[in-house]
Amino acid sequence: MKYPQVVALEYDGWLGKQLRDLARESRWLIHSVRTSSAVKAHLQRGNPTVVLIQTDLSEEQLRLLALIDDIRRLDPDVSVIVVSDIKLPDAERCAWTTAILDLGARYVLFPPLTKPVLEDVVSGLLSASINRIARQAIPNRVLTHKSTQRNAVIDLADQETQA
Amino acid sequence: MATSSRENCLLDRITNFGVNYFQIRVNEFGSVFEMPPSPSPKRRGRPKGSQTFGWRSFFEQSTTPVFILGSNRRLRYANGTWEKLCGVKLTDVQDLVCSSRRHSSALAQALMPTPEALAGKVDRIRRSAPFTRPGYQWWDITFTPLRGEVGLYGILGTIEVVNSEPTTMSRKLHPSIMTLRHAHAARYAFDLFQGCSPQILQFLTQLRHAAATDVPIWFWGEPGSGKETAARVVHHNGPRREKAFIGVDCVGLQPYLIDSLLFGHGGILEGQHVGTLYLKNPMALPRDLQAKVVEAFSKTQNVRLISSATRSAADEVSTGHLLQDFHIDLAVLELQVPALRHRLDDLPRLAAHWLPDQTIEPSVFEVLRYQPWPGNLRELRQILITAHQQAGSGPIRSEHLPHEYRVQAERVPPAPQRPTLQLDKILESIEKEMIRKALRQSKGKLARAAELLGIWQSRLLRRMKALDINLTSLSGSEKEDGSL
Repeated sequence: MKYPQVVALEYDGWLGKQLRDLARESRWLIHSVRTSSAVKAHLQRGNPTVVLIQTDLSEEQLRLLALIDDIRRLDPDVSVIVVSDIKLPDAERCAWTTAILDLGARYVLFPPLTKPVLEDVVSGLLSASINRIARQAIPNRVLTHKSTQRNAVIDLADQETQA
Repeated sequence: MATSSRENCLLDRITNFGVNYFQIRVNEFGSVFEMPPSPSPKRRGRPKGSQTFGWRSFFEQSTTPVFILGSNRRLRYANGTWEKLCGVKLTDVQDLVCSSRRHSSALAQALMPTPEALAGKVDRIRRSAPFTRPGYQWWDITFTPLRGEVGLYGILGTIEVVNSEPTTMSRKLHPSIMTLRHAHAARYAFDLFQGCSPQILQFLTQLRHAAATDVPIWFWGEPGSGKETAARVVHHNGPRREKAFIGVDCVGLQPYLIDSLLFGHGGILEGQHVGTLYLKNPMALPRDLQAKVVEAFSKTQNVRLISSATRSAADEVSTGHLLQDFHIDLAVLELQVPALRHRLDDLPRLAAHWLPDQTIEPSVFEVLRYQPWPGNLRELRQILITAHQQAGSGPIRSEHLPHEYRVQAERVPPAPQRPTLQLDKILESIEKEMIRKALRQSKGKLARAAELLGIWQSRLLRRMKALDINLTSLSGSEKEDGSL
């Protein structure tokens, strides 16, 4: 059984703790790991996966960003989210965000980081990944995610026209 | 000069240099003695004591980096400027196989001839320089094929360095990130969409045209067919290649996250770093955010927008998912990415791309040919990687494929040969039948038959001659039919 999984590459276990409730509710696996090789090992099974990379963007940790490129090569469908530990001025933040997204990451989070935002990013990207794989297995079935449901947007203009 | 000394001189060069330039001349002119003589005995570029054209010295004095590849893509010769540019001695890299295999060096990949050059056409391609320095370089490489008696003899390459000003991003970011970024970009060449099926060849041509322009693109095609890869290929081979490619999954991310990422405080569109913004399924965005995107991209020319979806932009507008303005302004060029089932002849090439060192038995492709491939390339890649893991060090056989795939292959009979629709033949047979009918009704009278057909008699005669209809055979066959 290919359970959806969240793999968090972190050094203090904070990300894993924040996502534990969501993972339990959604029946997802969550792995908190400390090395790049452990991340790659979890990608071998082809489960729908979101990888979180915690970094302080220091020179010692820049090699972690090479992992984004490796993950893209191993499995282009895996979504990567980079979580920065340090707050940066706007210009630098913009430059870093652009460079990280250019390497293939799907989102970059900077402090102050709240649990709902982290949950929204992870659940959204993982649901999209599950849908992609499910659509591949069941081609004729229409699968929708809460963010794709058109009814979620109430268009007042349409309602006025109908009235 | 005595004939023998000239011959010796040439043979000496052929032996010493390894590059068979003179042999090419021999083949072309039939004899070494018929080579055009040097116009002036004092001409520069000729080695001392030589009466012939000194091709090596000629290239050595050129400030253009020049290299020569053999027909087997091995590096045979490079001039001093090339050595200076690459920072290596020719003796160290002579016979280097210039290919894109996994173990190939960055230099070998940069010098790899394009498929067009290998097919005998002069081709020019822009590639990232293998030796990254501050102020990132691109190389414009021109490959000129040299023909021999039996096909391609070798390839002459020249390099033009494209110097670019360091971007704001490259000034601020760590050099190791920039190196990583350039290595990442180098993987997205047009070669990814090479193939032999007509659909993919047409798509590749469209992709090249799209990369040469700067207009917004709408890619559409089935899930997993490679839309994002196509978008990256366009970006990394287009005019904005030195800036960043940003991919945004509009289905996976909540609208407020996308809004914050693009337009928020310190959003990425505020800076000058982004070259291409790729929106995956933009119709999943709420209308107000779609309108914001249209407004932003109608104003700015700094960022190129590429969107992708499973249906065409017009279809998305007709179903009410996409704003009309988005279609008009941001889907200028629409390209359909071919589905895998329409390019089944490319299966071996795709397998070799993902598993370059793996042997795959032909029976595997026989099974794969009969799958519907709803997940397209994504599905194929996953199947091949799983089979590779099962096969271990041995070749991949059909038993390494999932059971349902093998059952499907056995259940589906080989597709019958599709009848060809040749319009001319069909029209010809209809015309023949109509003329025969008219002749039968007019009892062989040509004037009456022409009147019935609504044409001049002269034209009827011409058509009868062209269609090989004669009255005698007609009456004979009619007699057999019993109608006359």
